[in-house]
Amino acid sequence: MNGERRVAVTGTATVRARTIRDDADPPSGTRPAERPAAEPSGSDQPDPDPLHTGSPVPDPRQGEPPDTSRSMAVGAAAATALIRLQLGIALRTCAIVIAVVAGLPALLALAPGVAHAGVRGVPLFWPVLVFGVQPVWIAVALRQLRRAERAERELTAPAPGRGTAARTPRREPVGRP
Amino acid sequence: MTALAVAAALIALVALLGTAGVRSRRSARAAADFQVASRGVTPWWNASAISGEYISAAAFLGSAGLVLAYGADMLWLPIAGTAGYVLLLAFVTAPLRRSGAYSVPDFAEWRLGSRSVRRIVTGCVCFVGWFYLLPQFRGAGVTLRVLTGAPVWTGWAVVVAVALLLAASGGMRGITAVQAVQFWLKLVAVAVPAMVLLTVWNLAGAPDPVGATPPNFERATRVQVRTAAAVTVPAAVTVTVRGRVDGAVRDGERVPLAPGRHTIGAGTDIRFPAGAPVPHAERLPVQDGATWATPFGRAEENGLFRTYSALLGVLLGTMGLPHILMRFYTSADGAAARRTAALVPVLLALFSVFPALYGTLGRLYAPELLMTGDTDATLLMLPQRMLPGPGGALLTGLVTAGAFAAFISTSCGIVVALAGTISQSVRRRNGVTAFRLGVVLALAAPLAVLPRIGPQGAVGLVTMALCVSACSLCPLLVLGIWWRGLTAAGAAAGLLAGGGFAVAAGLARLFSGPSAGWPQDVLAQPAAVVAPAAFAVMIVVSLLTRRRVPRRADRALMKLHLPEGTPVR
Repeated sequence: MNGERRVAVTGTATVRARTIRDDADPPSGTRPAERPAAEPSGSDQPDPDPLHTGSPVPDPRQGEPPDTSRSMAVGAAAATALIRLQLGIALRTCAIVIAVVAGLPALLALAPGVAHAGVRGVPLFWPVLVFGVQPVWIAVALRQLRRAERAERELTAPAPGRGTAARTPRREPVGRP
Repeated sequence: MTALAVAAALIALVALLGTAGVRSRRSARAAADFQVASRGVTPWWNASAISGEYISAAAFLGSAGLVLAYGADMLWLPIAGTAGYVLLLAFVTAPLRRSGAYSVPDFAEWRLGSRSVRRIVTGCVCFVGWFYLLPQFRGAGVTLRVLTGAPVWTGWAVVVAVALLLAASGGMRGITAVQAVQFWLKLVAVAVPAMVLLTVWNLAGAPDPVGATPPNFERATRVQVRTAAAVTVPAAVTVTVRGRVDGAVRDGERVPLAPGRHTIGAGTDIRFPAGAPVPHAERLPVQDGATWATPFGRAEENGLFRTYSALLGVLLGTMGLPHILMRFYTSADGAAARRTAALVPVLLALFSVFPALYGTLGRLYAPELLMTGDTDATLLMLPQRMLPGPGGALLTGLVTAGAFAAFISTSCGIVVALAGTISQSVRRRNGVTAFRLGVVLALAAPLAVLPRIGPQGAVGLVTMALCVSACSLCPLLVLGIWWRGLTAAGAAAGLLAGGGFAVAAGLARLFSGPSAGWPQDVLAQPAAVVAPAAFAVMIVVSLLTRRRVPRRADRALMKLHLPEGTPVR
């Protein structure tokens, strides 16, 4: 693992399709002696394109054009697209959560009539808060799970238009709330 | 009889945990075995363990007490707690698992390549863990004191002893099974008494908990005040006192109490006639039924800000809980970790119904807790109150076992997480020795503070821990996972600013007690101000130091977000 990595750092890499797992082992803490080796001195060097303004920078270790024979391999552009897509999914989930968590107290504070509404002395929003909101979270969690998994499947699926598939997810009715 | 049931319950609990621990435990040879359970725990099993760790003293005992004391305003907290797991699922779980870093400091060092950031993160993790341990000890102390009259430190001793035993003998490998079993134990321990007590309430003609007046003693009640206290008497009442009231010593005399503030000496025994209004501990609000049942009914100053701030703290804080994050490392890969996280809201939703139920019943059947201030004990007192006799004692035993399962599971999880973090940062010596040293350190710090802090509910203390996490670890994780522009300097600045302020506010609150007004409101619930500020500081300083974005940020982000084993060009 580390052997391959050191080769890669010295710039003589000929391996084009690496797996992510083999790359950049974190300091797991379970092998303290290896940590310095896994954190080469170049790890904190300035980035020539810090804000990522240019097109996705190909790894500097690869001077050669991408190997088109490996149709499953994921390029930097596709990876960036996946990250964008996943971020979008996560932010949408976050928006739903914030809307509910911020909206309910605001509704009850700003419209006291809602808070006082009740049936036979039982204020109506008690059952709503106690029984009604948690199922929403379950639904939102499952929606997030399904979308995130689909985004990953489409990235690695050997389908035509693989690179752009991640950017435009299929609009299945089942995925919409 | 209650004491007997409690003792039996504790013995049964320890036996159960011991069996679960031993069955799953193989010989732990190295520190790695201690910290990371064997991979490939199934999502359901792992989700049970996570929920088991999350249902701590606060969720098990504290939230029912809060509903009893404050009413509708406290129904938000279980909602925010579950919602926090949805955000954790959306932003953190799968990428963090894929990073391979088993703790937040590991992640920070790997992502930013800076030892100094690692040290700051370690500090934040320690404070989160320590704040989180306080309510566990406190809850155990209150439980044993209320049920058996034992001094509070016996409860602390029980939790410390069991946590030491479990953490130092089996490490995490033993604990996964123990935690999962404990979740279901806790669910049974609240659900079964709830069914029985609801039936009792129905048979009694379903009395209305939302009366027009502040709560009354349903029947003649004798209240023992164990520690000196100041109470607010809502309406004039004549009581029989044996002990010291308002500085005068009485010996079984009838004393009229005018509405207003009165002081009661330690060890005083007061008898209230049936229908007497319940005096309230000074820090608790006196509310009639309608106010109690209405959110923001007290028209409290800055009530909306406090609510939002507490909710934001719980929401974001859940993302940075060290013991919960560590647990995802036992999943086989990122996808399994994500499935695990998606199951957690299901399990927590099962649990969230009960606090409101017990708090409401407590207003009818155990209102004297409002006077003694031990509202955390609502769940423990109700079975005896509503069902005197062996049936009640049996249920009390069951609830006690559940409560101690809550203290022990959370304490063990935190102690293992803290010990792992601490031992990795002092890794000069043998791994196992360092881990055991970390266990001792993790337990010693909160124990040293515990005798000095004022009266605090379990939930308040947990919110404080969550707030520290929301203001420091959450921004680090979210930005580190999703934004390649984060620099070591930015992360350090944000952690120091956010975490520093949150810790300072927490300590101020621990040692000064509650108060009112804008500055105090921000001190009491700083999350709504400090968490966005921490995000802002991290982003701004990172932009200012943009030339120092780690060179491998792109590759790190790819590793975080691509499924394991995906070939990259």
